[in-house]
Amino acid sequence: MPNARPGRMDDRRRRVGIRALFRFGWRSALSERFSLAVICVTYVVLIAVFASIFSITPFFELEGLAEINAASMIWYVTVTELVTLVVGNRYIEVREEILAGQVGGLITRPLPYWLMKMAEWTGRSLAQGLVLAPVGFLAAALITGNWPWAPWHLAMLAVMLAGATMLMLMAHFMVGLLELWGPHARPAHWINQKFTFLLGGLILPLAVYPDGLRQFAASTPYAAMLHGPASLVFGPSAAEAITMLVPLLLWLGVMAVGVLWLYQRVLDTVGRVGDQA
Amino acid sequence: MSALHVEALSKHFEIATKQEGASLAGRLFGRRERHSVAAVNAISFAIEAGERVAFIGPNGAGKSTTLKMLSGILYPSAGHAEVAGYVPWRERQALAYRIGIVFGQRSQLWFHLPARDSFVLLAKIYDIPPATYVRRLAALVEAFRIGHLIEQPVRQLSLGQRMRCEIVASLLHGPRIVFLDEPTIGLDVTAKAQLREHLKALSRQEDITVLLTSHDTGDIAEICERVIVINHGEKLLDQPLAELRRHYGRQKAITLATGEETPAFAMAGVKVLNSGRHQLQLGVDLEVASVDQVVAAALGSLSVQDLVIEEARLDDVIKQIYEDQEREAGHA
Repeated sequence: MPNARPGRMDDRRRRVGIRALFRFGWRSALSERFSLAVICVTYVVLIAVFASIFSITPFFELEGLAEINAASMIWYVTVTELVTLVVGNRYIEVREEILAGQVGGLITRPLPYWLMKMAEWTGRSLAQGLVLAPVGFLAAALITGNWPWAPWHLAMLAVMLAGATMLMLMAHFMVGLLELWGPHARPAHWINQKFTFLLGGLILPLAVYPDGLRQFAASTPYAAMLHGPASLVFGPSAAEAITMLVPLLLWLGVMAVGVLWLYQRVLDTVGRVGDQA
Repeated sequence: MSALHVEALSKHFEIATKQEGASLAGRLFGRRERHSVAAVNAISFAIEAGERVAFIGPNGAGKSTTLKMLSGILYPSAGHAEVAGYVPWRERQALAYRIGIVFGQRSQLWFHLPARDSFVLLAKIYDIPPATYVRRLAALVEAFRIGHLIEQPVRQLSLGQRMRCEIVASLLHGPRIVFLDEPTIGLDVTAKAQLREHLKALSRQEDITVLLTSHDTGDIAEICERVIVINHGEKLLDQPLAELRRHYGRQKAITLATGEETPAFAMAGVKVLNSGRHQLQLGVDLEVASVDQVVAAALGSLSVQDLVIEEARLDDVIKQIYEDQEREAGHA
């Protein structure tokens, strides 16, 4: 007879598995030194290119937006690019596992597939982030010659970057899962990427958008992914910064529900028709 | 208590068919015809702890579908099953600690990592205590002779080497039941023989229940002691292997090397199994003709240069089971 009736996974066992996968992701990211070096170089090049563009952009013509200038914009894209580079194209892993018919095997492991993937991705992203952030911040500091971060801003940035990265990872996980129902992951990723770029404010803060578009963008999760953490560079007050956390937390909750809902649909579909995409 | 208990288990798949010849609009917006296909139809069986059972049938018989239901991947359309006391599709994660799964065509190892790193990760995922893991890995490495392989990235291993690592990965957490779906597919003769030998020995030592599907009768003959045959999703037969051989052993095979280039032979109760240049293989139904009679007739009508008499091969036994069923279905 089984030792314990199932239904609720033993928490301790679950934690051991999650920690192992987190460490696996962390170690994998750090062991891929060449890839990491290439990403670092790309990051610095991107910052330099944007710095060059912003140096000839007449930000002073933006009425009522005194905080936006070439230096603050360089720091802004340093933060937004950090999130996008750390997350990369994670959805491809899920897509490939579905195409290879591996998902059936993966869902018979003691930990749910979504939890295994998120634990590994979190470890990988954190390791990459901790390597990329100093490189990018050093580059931005050298190019702009200023350091806009008060200590509490930096602490807040770390929290918001962690949340924003999780949000984007969850979006990638969901996009990858779509491949189970047909060749949908790539087009979905394309759409997701464009929306991240436009509605997330990848290279321009939402403050410069027209009113209607700004309000619409701010009501999507994309703004919480990029614009949220990056706008800390404009030096919000403590109250404003905490207010900026609200949509991030809200979207984290919504996205977590979405991941669990979609994952349950995956289990139902695999249970009904099998794991051959 | 049964390690595995299956009661009237069925799985029907819904298949949507396109309307052939319909207009583009019809194909895009028209309703697709759907029909239900029974992959597994009300099969029942029980397997005791420590038994090694072959689950065989032709392609599309429902073997892998059954295995997927028993491992919790597929939901059944009807019926009930308990594996190690768990209902697989409801208690998938708790069951995971009790079963090991090897699907020959798929991998559970991380391809870019050395096998050892995959084992370490699996040990954590399955929460194997460190001392147990070290002891168990050492025993499995020894049994499957993979000591020289486990530091190499999995992608650099040959198929046979990878399969041995796959099986070690599936046994690492000490499962009580192992599902093996075509575990020797693509392996050479030596690798197959080694794998079979190790699996059988380990199952005996640790009282592991094995449910194996394979088209290779060597796997069945070397590993299993009982055979369940299914076809068209229905159970045809469930017997100990020895009994199956006895029951269908009313056949013998006689292979003749002849002086004639294209030998021909006909006799009541004798079926030509194979013929080639200077060679003829005959299947003899012992209920109709004796071996003596057939040999005498062959020596009389052919210039026989060599002659081999064999028990019916398991391949032929299984082929005969399928043919009998097809014939019965045709008469019905």
